[in-house]
Amino acid sequence: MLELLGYDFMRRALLVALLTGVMAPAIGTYVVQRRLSLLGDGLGHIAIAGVGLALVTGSQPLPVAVVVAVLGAVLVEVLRQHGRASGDVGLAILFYGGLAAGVLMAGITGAGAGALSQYLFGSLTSLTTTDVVVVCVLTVVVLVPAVGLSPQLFAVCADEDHARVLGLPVRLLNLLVVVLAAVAVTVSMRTVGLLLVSALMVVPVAAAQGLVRGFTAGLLAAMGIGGLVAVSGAVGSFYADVAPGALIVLLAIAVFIASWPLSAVLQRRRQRGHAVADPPLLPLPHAAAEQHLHRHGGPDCDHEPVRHGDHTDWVHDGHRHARHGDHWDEH
Amino acid sequence: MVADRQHPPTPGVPADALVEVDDLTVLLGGRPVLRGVRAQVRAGEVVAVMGANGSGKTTLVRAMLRLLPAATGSVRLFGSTSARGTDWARIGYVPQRSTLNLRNATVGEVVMSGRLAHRRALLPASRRDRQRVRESLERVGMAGRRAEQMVHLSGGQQQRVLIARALAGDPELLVMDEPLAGVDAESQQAVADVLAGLVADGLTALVVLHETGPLLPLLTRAVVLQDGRLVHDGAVPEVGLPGGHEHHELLGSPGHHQRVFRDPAAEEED
Repeated sequence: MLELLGYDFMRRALLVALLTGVMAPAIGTYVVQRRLSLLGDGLGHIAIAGVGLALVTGSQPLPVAVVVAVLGAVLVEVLRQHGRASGDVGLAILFYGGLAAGVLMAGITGAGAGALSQYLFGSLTSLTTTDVVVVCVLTVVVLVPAVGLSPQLFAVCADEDHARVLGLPVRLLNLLVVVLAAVAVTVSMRTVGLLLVSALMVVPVAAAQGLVRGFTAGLLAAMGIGGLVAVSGAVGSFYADVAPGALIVLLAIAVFIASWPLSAVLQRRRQRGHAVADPPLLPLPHAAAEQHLHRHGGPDCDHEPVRHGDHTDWVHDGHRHARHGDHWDEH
Repeated sequence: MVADRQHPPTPGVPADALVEVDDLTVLLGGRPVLRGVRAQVRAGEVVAVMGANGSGKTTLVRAMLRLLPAATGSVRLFGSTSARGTDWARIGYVPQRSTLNLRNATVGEVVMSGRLAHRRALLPASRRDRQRVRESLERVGMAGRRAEQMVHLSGGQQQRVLIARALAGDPELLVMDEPLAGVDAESQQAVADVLAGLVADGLTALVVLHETGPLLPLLTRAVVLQDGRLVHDGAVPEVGLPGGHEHHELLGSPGHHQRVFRDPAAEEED
């Protein structure tokens, strides 16, 4: 691992992998919360048009792709806000139009669609110093609002009507999410590639949400998982001589799958801890439980005991009950 | 059969109206959902918006809150006729739970979002913000559950969290959309008790209700809609308003209809 840092190109590659790995899930958290998990994929298709345009004009692909993807994102959001994106047909035309235009423009340069492959699947080792500077600047551009405005963005993504009644600029914040997503997608094209970028935005978020409680904790955990798999994938791709994007995405999915059993255990523990309902505001009458054949405290008993005054209650389906003489009372 | 604490409807613009709509028509998909509705909520009132499913109850409160545009007529909210001029910090909104998309969020995060009208962007929550979140949760009987995830709460508990979120913003007017829907009888009573405390402290409330349930003693007036038109503004009808019924018949001859808003078991306990 350490010998990798001896190579200039590898230092650049690892830095860009870390930044994009942290950035993509940061904005991905809001995209997932808004149930737009495939938005990143569509924006990636639009960014391909930007890469094609850069190839035709002989410009730097990254800045041109960022501008084209951001313009596409604005168009997508305007279509959505005006209710003209219903049925997804408008979005599909925009997305696949972007892909087709990119391939066409790459063909015009004579390089063919093959020239796009490093942008489609990621190519960390060919990064220039300019690329690294652009990625650093754009990471700040994405992370400052994604983390700093997280209360506002959370409010808008969770409950748009409530956010409006709070007086928040909901349209602007929705636009901000898709524009930042477009930037994150384009910046990640050198790391995971435009075809796989959506996975880096979504999969770490899905893994994090099973492991931690709360929106903010989920945001930070997703950023951590994203950074970890991106750097691990970049290192692995060097040794295995494979495209980094594929390895990063498969690692992210592996973390997600590995998080299942752990999150199931955590969920069960949390639910047990909260199984006891609030104390009722009115005193309940003496209520006898139905027939009770199960023996509490035995080896096959998985009910949680709760000390209640001079006796023990057992938690059953969110309520408590206790033995009282020859019957069981609901408490 | 009729609550007697109503304010008589007064013509003209009442000086203390917090919300006022006049000749309000709202179109959804080109179809009129509200037609020429005139209504207001005055300071200190607890007004129910009632009517059958599809009568326009939710549309009326959403239009009052400027969540839907008015095709014709006017909406005046705290004296302002524009969204830009509206003092949103004076309003607490409790939408229908079914519209939420809270997933992983904790109770504390949800309630803290109710402070956003008072917070500055990019700055962390202040001590006062955290204090108001604590107090709001205590008020609805959910203190100590701040770290729990919303998905693990019952419908009634979620409803109380949403009320706490609205209260965290220190509102003068609480607007609630079907706060009793999908909530068991015990939690309905809990919601009613919370609201009773707030009303006693002088909060004004506008509540969309399908049935009055345990909120009946709190209501000072009811606005009843039918097919998007206002058919009643005044005393609270003490019968339920099941879907598809003709409300003017209901109001005129309540004896023909079953009392549906009260849980018989709860009455026995009384």
